[in-house]
Amino acid sequence: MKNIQKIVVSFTGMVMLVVLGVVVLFLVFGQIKESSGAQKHIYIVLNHADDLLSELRDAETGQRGYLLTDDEAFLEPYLKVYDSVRSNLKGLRQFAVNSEAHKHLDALVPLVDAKLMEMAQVIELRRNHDMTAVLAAVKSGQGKRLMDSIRVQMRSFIQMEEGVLTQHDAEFQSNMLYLFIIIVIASLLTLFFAILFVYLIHRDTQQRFTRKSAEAASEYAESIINTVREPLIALDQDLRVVSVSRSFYDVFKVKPEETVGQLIYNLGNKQWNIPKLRELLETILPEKTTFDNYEVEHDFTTIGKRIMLLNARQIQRALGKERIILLAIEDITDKKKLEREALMAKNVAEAANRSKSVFLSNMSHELRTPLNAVIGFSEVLVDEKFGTLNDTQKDYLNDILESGKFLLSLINDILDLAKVESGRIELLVSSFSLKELLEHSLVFVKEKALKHNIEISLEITKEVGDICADERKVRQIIFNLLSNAIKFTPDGGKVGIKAKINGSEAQVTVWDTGIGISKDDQDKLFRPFMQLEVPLTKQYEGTGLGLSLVKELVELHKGKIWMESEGKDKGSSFKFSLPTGAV
Amino acid sequence: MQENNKILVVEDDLRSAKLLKSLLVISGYEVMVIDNAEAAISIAREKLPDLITMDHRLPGMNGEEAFKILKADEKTKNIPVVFVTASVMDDDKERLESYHCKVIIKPIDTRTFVREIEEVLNVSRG
Repeated sequence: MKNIQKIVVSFTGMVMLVVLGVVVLFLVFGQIKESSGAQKHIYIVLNHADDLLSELRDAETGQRGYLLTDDEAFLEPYLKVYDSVRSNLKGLRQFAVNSEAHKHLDALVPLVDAKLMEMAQVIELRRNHDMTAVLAAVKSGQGKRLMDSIRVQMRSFIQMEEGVLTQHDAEFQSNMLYLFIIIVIASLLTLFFAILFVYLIHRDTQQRFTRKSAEAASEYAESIINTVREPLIALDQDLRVVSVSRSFYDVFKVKPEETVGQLIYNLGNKQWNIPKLRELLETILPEKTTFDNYEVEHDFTTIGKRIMLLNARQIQRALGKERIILLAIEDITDKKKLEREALMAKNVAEAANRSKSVFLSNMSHELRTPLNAVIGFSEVLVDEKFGTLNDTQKDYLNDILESGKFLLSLINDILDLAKVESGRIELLVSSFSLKELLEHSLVFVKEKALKHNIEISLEITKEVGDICADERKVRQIIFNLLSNAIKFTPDGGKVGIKAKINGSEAQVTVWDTGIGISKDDQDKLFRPFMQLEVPLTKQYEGTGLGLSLVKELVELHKGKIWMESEGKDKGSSFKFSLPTGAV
Repeated sequence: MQENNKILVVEDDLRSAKLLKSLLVISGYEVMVIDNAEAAISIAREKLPDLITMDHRLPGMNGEEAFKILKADEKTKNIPVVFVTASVMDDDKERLESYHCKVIIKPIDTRTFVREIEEVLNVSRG
């Protein structure tokens, strides 16, 4: 039976019961009213009967009083009875409805008449002062007999009426009991139907709600599954497909009608019978209830070789004890291909880098070898080890020597930069005194500074002590910056070094009063081969590699380098900071 | 400087060999020049020079291998070897220095070269 029918039935039952109850109550109340009316009636009759009897008794008493005293006043009750007793009896007869009562009352009438008559005769005798006759009459006991008969008769009547009353009473009692039982039963039934009604309504609402929320939940789950790009498949405990996301069909080119209800291994013409998958589902999952990121490679007849990333979760279904397995299958074939390509590209790049290193090493060797003769012979000739030269010869030989040395510094710089850029340089970190290193650095440029009348200064704050860094490379940094400062400072200028500690960093400044650098050019400064302006390049020869090498070396130490210049001809400050602790 | 100090210059670049030889000769050394390692080893065994300047990159056997052979040979193991090489890649230079040999990088400084050779000779003589 459907819920709605149950509800209608229970509601109808409830209404019918209420109606039935009302009708029954009505009937029972009618009965009660009737019997209580009858009772009232009987009470009146009994009262009347009592009154009648006591009136007669009063009359008799009054009569006796008169007989003794001859005082007419005693006759008052008698006279009253005489006038009223018959009509009273008649009235009583009218009240008493049943025939038995009538019989008793009818029997009373001649007795009462006789009594009245007897009393009247005796009173008459007394009026005539015939005391003897009076005495005789009283003595005869007829009056008393009559009175007794009346009493007997009356008592029978009363007893009978009382019997009727008792009967009514019992009827009333049983009616009340019926009423009580009916009310109780009707109430219980009504209550039962009401509870049933409320329960059914409640259950129906609940079911409707549960159904609705279950529908909403499954809709929600389905929309999530279909939104997820990676194919998802839900299996029951027997590894049969319960449901599948849209993307699964798209990616693995299987048809929905050949999928749901099938054993997973049988999908797409048993293409899915993959040993690794079997192992995961049958061995690993039951033990762990989950597995993550298993890579499985398989050659599908329809879509070719695929690499898949498998993730699974075993989940308890909300209802019932069965478990389902949620299997996510990401197709990582393309990703893997990209990874492989990237790895290959990396290997190629590394091989290129290696051959670059070999090339650099060879080139350096091949360039240095002829320079050995160029520099070496011009040097011994300039030194006049093999005889004196005239000034012009010496001048030209010096040009050869300087050009040779320039070529050599160019080769050295290129080599250094290439080594840093190919990551071949490693830091040999040790703890050393920065202060001492700075002091020694000045010695190297002293000669050149003296030659150009450049004043050199050194300012180091007290906190500057040991730092952890590659000593040789720090020396190279400072030497490069100092050489630049002297190179770009006109004769009579100033060059200096300042050093201080700034938190966990040592900050070194190499400053000069040289030609300075325009704001526009400051950005280009640290790029390889970037010397500024062609005329400058001619005047201040250099490779243009020094600063980019310095920058690489500072950054290798996880430090920073920057420069400050007010502009052209206002000098420059090159500043770099190095962590004082280990890199 | 002592009389009759014989120096074997192993160098395949003729101009470099010429430079080294002239520097050493004007300083009074007797100089033999050879352009490959294999011949250098046999000359060293035969003539027992007081010092060998050894190029690293040579045709055939390289200077390092020749050095090892000389050091393994009872006759030649005490002859000091000075590497004179244009190979400046750090690992090459460091490896050569690990043999406790003087390494002079080409192009050489002609003003200090002979002095450096003399220092090595002085050390080897004790």
